[in-house]
Amino acid sequence: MPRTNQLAKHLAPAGIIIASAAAALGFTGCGGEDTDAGGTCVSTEQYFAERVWAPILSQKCIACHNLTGAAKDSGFLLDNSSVAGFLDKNLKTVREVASLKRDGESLILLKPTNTITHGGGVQIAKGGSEYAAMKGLLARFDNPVDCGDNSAAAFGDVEMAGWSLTGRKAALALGGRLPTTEETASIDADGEAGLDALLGTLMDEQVFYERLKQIYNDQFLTDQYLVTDDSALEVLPDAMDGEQAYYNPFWFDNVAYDSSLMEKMGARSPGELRGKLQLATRMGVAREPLELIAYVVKNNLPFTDILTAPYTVVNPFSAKAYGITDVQFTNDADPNEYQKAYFGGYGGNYPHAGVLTSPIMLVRHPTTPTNVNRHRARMVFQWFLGTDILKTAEQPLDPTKITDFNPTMNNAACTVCHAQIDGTAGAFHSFDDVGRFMPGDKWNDNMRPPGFGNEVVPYDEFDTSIQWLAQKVSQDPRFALAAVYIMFEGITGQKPLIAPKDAKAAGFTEEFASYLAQYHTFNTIAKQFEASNYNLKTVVAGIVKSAYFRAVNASTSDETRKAQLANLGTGQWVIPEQLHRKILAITGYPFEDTFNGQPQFTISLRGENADPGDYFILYGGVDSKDVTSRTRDPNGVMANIADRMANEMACISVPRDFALSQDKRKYFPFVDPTFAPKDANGFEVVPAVAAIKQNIQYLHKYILGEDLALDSAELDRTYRMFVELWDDGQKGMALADGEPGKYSSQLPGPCQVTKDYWQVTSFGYDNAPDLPADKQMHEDGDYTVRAWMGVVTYMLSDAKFLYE
Amino acid sequence: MDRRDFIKLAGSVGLGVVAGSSIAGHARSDEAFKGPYWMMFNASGGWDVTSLCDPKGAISATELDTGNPMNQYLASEIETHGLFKCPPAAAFPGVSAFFAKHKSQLMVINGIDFATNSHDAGSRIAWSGTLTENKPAFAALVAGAYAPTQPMSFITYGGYDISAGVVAVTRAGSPDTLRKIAFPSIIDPSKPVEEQEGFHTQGAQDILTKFRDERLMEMQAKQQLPRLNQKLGLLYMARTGQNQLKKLVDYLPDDPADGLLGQAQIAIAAMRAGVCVAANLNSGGFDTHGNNDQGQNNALTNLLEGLSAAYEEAQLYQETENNVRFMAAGDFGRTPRYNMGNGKDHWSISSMLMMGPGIPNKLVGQTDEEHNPMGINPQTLEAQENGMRLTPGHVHRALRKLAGIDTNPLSAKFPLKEPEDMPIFG
Repeated sequence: MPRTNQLAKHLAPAGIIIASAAAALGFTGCGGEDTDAGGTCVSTEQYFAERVWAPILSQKCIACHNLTGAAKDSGFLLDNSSVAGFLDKNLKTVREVASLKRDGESLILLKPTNTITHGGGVQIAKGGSEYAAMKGLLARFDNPVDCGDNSAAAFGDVEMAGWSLTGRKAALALGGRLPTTEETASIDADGEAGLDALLGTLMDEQVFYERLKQIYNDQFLTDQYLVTDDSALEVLPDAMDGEQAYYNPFWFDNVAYDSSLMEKMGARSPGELRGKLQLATRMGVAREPLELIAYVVKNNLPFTDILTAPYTVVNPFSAKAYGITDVQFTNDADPNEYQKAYFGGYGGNYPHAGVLTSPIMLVRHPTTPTNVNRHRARMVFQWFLGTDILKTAEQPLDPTKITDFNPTMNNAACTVCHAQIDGTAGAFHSFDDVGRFMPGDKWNDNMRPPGFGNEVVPYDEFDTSIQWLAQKVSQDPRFALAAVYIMFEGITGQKPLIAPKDAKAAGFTEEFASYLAQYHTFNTIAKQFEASNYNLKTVVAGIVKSAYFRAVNASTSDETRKAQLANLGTGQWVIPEQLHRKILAITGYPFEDTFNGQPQFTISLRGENADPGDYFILYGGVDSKDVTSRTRDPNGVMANIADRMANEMACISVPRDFALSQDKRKYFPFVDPTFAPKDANGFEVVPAVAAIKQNIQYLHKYILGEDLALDSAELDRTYRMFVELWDDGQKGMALADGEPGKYSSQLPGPCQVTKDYWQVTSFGYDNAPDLPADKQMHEDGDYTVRAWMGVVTYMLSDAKFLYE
Repeated sequence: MDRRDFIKLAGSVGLGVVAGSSIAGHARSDEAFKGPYWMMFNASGGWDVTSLCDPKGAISATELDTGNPMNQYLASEIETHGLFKCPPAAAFPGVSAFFAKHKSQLMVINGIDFATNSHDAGSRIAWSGTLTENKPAFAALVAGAYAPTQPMSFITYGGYDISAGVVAVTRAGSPDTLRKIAFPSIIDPSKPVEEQEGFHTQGAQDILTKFRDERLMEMQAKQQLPRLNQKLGLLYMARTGQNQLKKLVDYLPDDPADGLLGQAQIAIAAMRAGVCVAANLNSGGFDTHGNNDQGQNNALTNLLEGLSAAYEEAQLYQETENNVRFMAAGDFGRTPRYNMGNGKDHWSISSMLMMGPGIPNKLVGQTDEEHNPMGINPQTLEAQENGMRLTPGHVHRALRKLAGIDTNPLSAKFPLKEPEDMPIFG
């Protein structure tokens, strides 16, 4: 077999044979056929990407055929890869141009060969491989090839997590908990359908909405104003000198501190009441855009509502700050209850456009007289159109050559961006730099009129042009992809791939293959999202079921193939907020400062404060102000924090678990502290060893999600470690009193069980009553408890616990 | 882990440690890094270098009163400090004070063409030398080349801190928190040593570490998906330098200052402990589209006071005295003359400041009266008609050479497009 065919067969399972290598892979000559040399179906879309876009259009055409290039008036404009869905859009464009013919020959062949006059001269030689590729595409336009879902073939050599393990990963990632026994049984019985049911349950739970808000805050960064040091209430525009009073952020300064209000709010003093009212108001204002997103998803509304909703959401306290009085709350003391509301009341003139008109969004993403809303427009492109507009302008800029009058309108170096964003910026014209709605505002004459793409806001919608923009953006095909991008990054910790540009660069083929596989996955999810009437839960399910979430290993050792699979598998260093939930779910206790109860890995909302835990930023979290991107890979500091967490949590949770009756334990259903592996003569205690191994097997499953056989090498390793720990303990305890290195027969002080954990955190150590004597644990005379603490520490600091 | 395994592992996670090279010696986990260290000050938002080190004054009082001058001071008022010029103290007192104090240590590079006026791209080219995405900041590169496994090899407080996988990015916390982190197996490290108690005995700790490392290495060996394989390797590498963090505790300040100096004090402590190679410090307030002069005056004063204090702090200690290289840069410059809000917008011509061992007291690069870059002779660096534009890539090429990493495989992995070796540092 010629080498080319061997290679083709090897790459074929991925379904991602690349154009620049097409000839070598046996594509040449297959023209419009439906399969590649390896027999894998190649769809029209894939053919276009691999054989036409990558080697021809992206290399020879787009330099001129773009919005501001030399061929900008040709009617044949291509998008670069910074635009979401660019391949589909370009395919559509090519299809349209290809349908134009002269003397029966398509323009798509006549122009680049310069058969009819082409401004760029000859770009493709008649009869060459590129010409054949174009002809092949034309043949596919006449007889389209649809391969259906061939993802199974594409990832045939990839080991996916089974549905049950996928369910566990998803439950931890989305719900911060483990699946229940019933849920696991349902998945075991029903496979994918059982997983779907679990996902449905998880996405009805509150933790999922906390996660969703965190994912969108990583984009919006509005939580900057949640924390104590930078309160939303300080930046919300209130009464301005000589102008209309907009909001009343400190409304609680004037409330009467009667006892019923204090009781309702659970406050013990007027000062505490004020603090609680302040924090609740701050939460409502700072989190308004994030809560609107949660509201839309929770109520299964079309996700497009996050832009087009003619309302916002408020809690009972932010309602007061905004002066809204016509909203009914089930519990007007609950800061977590959010209801639909209208600024100025129902029928008011505030042009609500979902998150776009949230005051805190406008404050967090402000404007200036010379920026004129361009930053806001840029973020619209990034968040809701999946398009990084700045990437279109990263060609070198030479200011000394920009001499035009009003260059943003007239100089190609500037219009490449400004032609796209200035109209969108204009749509924000009714909102000032501090986020106030200013009806009657005039737009700048020296800028493009408010609009989107080639459309201009109709005259009679000028004051409410932001609502017009919201409709246009939400109807754009890129909107669905943008949501997929954000949720993908949030759930997997990976940024969507960027298409490689240099076809001559080493590794381009594999890199493009990797990119294309992800591009197709995202497109599939986006189409499902659209078909579901933009139910975001469809996107979450799509990502969870994709190879990017489920891949756990591969059966190949071929480096080329590995390069194609470079981005599969989540392998996400669990972010601190998630790790906080995971620790609580698995150990039953939070990782917190035992002195003051401050959670170490989250922002704590208590009293009037919202403060990040000591390790929150160090472990990779963001403060949404100075630290706006997460640290995704561990460093020495993070490794040490993980170790401290594992030590502290094993210390807290292991002895307390042993102090419970066997049927109530999380960790130790099969052993007791009396189960030592050896007797006094050093002989194995067979029943004890069997129970210990069984418990180790259980712990591997419970803590790490691993299914291990009792005779597996992995289980044996943990058992050997347990025995070594126990042996070391026996040796240390056997030393004479006063001898250096003598081990105590007691547990380390903080690991001893004297009081109920939750009583201590609620009332302080001194005020919490002691547990009954039979529920306490101080002694560890057999050294088994400490050996098990070692086993749990080992697992809580394991890569499978720290990564997801 | 033996040396061969270590180098193999380093390679698997993308670190450029090469067996037999001088760099590989530095990469051993037990060896403190002894400098020179690097401290980078980022002027976030884009500083106005005509209010700093490349002053352009109004040509007359009339222009000041009725025209739109380059700046709100006269060209004749521009001050000279040693080799350098700066705006008058009356307009920018913090700037003037800085030049008066550091004129003998400073190096100023003017007329650098950043070729962008985008914040993201500007910050990227300032600190990595290229507009291309996902390239490591110089601080990350030098940390990755010299001490990739030290636990705080590259500390960042913000600014451009992409590491492109060459080293772990580390954020620093308060001294109290760092003390707790340094001793993860001690229940309460704030107690006197004789009263300290471990969660596990030392013997148990050693057993745990042995089995944990063994399992991790086996998992990595079996993992064929590159992404997951690399992640396991990164965890191992992060743990390799864990014990080094203990050294930091001896150097941490009890009560660090606020602001930039406090950040610098933590970084200097980490450098003295040999666990840090480079640190990013970040100072904002420079995106002065409105009220440029007031905004720049405040932001520059804050930045320069921090830089000056950090420089002096470093001179206090044997390990860092004349052993830290300081560098300051912004996203780009700001437009010549004012907009309607007395602000200045984005301008792609900018400057950089440097101090420290191996950095000559020197002025490089020039701009014309409208703050356009002037070409230079790439050999002499003198202004030359139709000369070459000085770019951040040229500066970074020289930086790599100065740091001794120009021939390191990591530098080869992230090439700069400028082929010219300019004698910027001598």
